[in-house]
Amino acid sequence: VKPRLPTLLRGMPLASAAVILVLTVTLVPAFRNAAYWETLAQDSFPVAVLALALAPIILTGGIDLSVRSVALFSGVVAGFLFHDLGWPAGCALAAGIGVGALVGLLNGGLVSVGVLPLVATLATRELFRGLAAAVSGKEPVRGFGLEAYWEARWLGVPVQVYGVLLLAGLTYVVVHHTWVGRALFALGDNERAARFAGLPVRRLKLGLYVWSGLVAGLAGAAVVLKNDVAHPDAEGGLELLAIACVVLGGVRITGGYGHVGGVLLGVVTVCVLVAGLLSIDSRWRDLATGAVLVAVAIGNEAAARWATRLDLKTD
Amino acid sequence: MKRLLGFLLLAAACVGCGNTNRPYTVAFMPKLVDIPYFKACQRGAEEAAKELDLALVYDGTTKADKTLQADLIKQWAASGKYDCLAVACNDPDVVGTALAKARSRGLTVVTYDADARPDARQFFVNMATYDAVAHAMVDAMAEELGDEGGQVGLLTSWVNAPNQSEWAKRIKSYAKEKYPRLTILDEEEHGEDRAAGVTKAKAMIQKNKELKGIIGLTSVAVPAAAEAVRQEGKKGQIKVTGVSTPRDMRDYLKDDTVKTVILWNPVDLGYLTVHVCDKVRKGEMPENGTIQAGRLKDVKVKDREVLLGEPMKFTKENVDQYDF
Repeated sequence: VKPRLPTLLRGMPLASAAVILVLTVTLVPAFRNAAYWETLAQDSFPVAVLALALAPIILTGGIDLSVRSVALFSGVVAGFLFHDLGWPAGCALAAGIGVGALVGLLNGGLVSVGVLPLVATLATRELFRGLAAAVSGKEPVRGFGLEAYWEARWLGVPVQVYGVLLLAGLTYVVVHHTWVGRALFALGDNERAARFAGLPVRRLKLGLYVWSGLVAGLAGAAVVLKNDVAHPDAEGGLELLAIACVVLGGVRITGGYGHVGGVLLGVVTVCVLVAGLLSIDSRWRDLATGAVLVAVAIGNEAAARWATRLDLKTD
Repeated sequence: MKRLLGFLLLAAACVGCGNTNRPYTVAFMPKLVDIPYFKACQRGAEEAAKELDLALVYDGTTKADKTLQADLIKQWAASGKYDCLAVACNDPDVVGTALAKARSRGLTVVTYDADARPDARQFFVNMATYDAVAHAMVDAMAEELGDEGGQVGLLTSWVNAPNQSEWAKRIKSYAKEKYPRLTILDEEEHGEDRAAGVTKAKAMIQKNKELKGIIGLTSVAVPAAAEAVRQEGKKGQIKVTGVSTPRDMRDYLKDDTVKTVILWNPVDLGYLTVHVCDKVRKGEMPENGTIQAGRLKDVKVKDREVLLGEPMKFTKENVDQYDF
């Protein structure tokens, strides 16, 4: 069967992501260097897992802006447990991840009682960054001694890649092959209808934000390992980068439409683009980033409108 | 489509060619590009690179951001384009970890202007000792205030920033010991952003009724504080001093909002840094002792720390002699 033109047009976001990816990799010589890819794969772990946790939330039409703050807070708490209470580094980091989930409970609670996700998580974003700074004090905790784990490889590939693939697989199965996933899409399409259909909307939302808190805790532990210091103000703009991955991966920011595979493509594209643009002169870097994103936004929007018009004609 | 693909491959090949047999290349990275202070460092670095016949690339991030800088360092180290990194660090730890990684890939790593943790780099080129700069700032402030006492606020980039945190510590202890009539307040942060600095300085003025002076710890903080004093109509009542560049401060020095600005010569700092890179490469760099670095004679080295010299003072009278 020949696919219909509107269907093809709806795939435009994925096509533009793929084009950016291929262009960047071919045009930037540094990508011919295996070490460059390895470094990129390791350093992109936090943003990748956050994008995967944000995708289901965005599918419901929600958002979690607090992920970076939660990540930093979990990392700093882990630092506190390690340095001040003398916990083993591994246990401290695991506890930090648990703290992330607890923090997610607060976000989820706020959202499920009806506070707009944008407002709720914007508030907790400030709150937890402040708490991270307060817990950390003047000197950030360093010297966890876990570099070997961060640098570990399996079959020559950095372990971070397997972590991301594992999480992507899990997210894929839940989002596209379980009733939870179907409920997410229903919620993103029309929350009222979902409620009337008897879906457990509150519990679903609560679960989603706890999950993103947990994953943010994981990202926080990763940031600690990456920098070998629990810094209360690292990774500036991490949450926006993660959201960019999700949106560039074809998930509609208003909810109800998207695919986990697309998000994975979005992650690779954004990370490669950001790294690729680092090798051009700093004077043009911000301009180039902006120009690429504007071009993609225009292209995707035009394709979506064209598809809608064609659909209307044939109907 | 095929033609397009062919064109792309050709373009890629052109960008990628010319990689073999390149000269020894130093990547000279500021905390952030595009501010006069680091452009002055760049000029000195280029002068030295010409003398020593090295290739020099001046580039970095457009924001003073530790994570961006660390990521850039790691990617440069992995790209195989550079032999030596000379870096002004935005954070001793986050950037230090990236520098340690670059070292493990075999690159020579020298820090200048702001240090990383010492095990992450081979040498640090320090413009003046922390003590000398901190004391110069406090002395200038105390001299302007005369016998009058009062509160003095500190405006910094980030409380944890390497130089600023060291200066702040020494400012507080030195003032306590030598000028007990001064009360030094805790630092306010501006994040290397001029507008945020003006806002913070204004808030400081409004909040502390006894405020008599502001010491700015970055080249952005001093003009921001001066601007706040001007806008609040407190010229002469609230004194401003700190480390900044003649270019940033010229207007405020000329209209007497600010009397004294402390700095060293950033052109010489860049120049010395590249000379140190070259000496490390040639294996001529002692961990302790003195070195001859081109036009800079008898430069002291102590515990892998190279000292440019004493801080300078800029005033209304001499500011026009400097163009950085």
